Amino acid sequence: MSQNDKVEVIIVGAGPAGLTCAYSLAKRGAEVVVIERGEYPGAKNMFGGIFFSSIMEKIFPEFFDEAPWERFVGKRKFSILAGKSELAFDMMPSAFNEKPYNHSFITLRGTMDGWLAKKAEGAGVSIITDYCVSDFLYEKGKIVGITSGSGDEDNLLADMIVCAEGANSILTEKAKLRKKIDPERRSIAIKENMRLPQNVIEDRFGLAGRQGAAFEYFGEAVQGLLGNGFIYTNKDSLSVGVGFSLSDFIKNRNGKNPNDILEDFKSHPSIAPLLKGAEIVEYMAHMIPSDGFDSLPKLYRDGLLVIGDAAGLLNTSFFHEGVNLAMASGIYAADTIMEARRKNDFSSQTLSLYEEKLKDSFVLQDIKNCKNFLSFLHKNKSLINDYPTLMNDILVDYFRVSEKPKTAVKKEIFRKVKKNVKFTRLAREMWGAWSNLI
Amino acid sequence: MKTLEQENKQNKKLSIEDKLFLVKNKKDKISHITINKKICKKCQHKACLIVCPAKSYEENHGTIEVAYENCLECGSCRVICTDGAIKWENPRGGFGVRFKNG
Repeated sequence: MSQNDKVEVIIVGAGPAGLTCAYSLAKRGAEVVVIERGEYPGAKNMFGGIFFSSIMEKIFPEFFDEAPWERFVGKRKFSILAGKSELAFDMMPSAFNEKPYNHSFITLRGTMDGWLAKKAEGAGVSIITDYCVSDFLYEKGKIVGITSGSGDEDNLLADMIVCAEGANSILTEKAKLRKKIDPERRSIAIKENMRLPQNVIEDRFGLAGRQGAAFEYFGEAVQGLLGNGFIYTNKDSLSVGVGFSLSDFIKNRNGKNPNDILEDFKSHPSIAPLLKGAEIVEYMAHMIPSDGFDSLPKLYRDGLLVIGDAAGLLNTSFFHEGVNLAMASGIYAADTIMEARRKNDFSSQTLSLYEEKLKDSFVLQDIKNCKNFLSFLHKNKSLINDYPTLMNDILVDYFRVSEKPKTAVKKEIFRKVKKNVKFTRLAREMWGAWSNLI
Repeated sequence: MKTLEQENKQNKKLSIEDKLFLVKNKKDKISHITINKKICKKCQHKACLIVCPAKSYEENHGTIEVAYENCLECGSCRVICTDGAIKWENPRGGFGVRFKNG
């Protein structure tokens, strides 16, 4: 690259958001270069495991037949661990076990991002790997290019830059689109890929064919932190991990680091048998945005749009949709850039169209809808800690075999509940849960 | 008959060092993480010591040091360092972790 090299659009980051944006632009004739700091697309990327694919399938109808997804999510479990006990809600809806499989596919990012990158390249996108953007280049306040910081010969200029750098949004901070990230606005997730033969996985989890299981564990699974543990079944491996709010490591520390918590989770009597004989192949970590509607960064400035995790576009509620929102934001960014290109005006005024599009779509509407989800749980930890334990105790008492008459048992349970639960507080919490969580 | 606990003990446990050994990582000679000792000394919570999933941070005689070569590039330490003592840049292009099953 020489100092004066210029292209129409530079996209920083070859994840689902960046690659979707690139593909969508190239399809419409724009000249696009994607810059990726890893050795290949996916090398720096990690997520829990479910690829929500409704946007993906709109762009690539061949996704189901061609893409390297591992298993569709046919079985789901929401489970609460309390002490050495487990209490769970299991589901296998027939509607989710036939096409389109609820657009939920257990996936590994190394293969999936690579597939998406090939699609983008097929549409004419150039992908440059091993290039880490250290900062943007400015001209009269407008962002006009990128630099690796190792000399002018690496600089690249463009009419438009799209920042799809991910959850560790360093460039977004450097471009003054957000302040230093608050620990309450990020979670950390760590994950192991554990190899297990395909037939063992299918027998152990009761799966048929390409059916897969997505198990999520709350309560003691993360030892009072705000977050959860998970097991997702791949074809011949398991994705096993834990994730929790970073701010809890300041306020609520018990001295254990994420790996200790993962190991405790893995040795829980409900989890350990599921992992028996599985061999750890890889250990990974990543942050998850939990910006929430009220603290999203500014999404644009002259010459720049921010998309995907970098923009904090993640549904932080029970749904945990990230990829879907990331890809949608990539398309809206591409639409906006095509409009700006037509007008030959890349000012923030024209680019504000991007935010309008997000507001009109499920992306910002869903993020707005769950804006109090995490702050409510941070303030009402009893919902995830005390009540699950109590619920477990009650069920144990109720089903315990003894010669005590059942009416006496019921009275004891009632006394226990009365002692541990303040009903006015419970009513307040339930109302809060109804209005903030669901 | 074995207890549940004894049964489950059969699962192999890897140390953090063994786990890090499994990560493909092209290590740079230059650190991408620097700590401003002056700011660091004033920190009340020192949460970097427990949040790092690679256990890269250690306290030696009151000074916090980082083994950047083990970094998994999540960036949690940067975010949790509320006083801004940790300066964290992405490793240079081509260096750092190379995940396969992310």
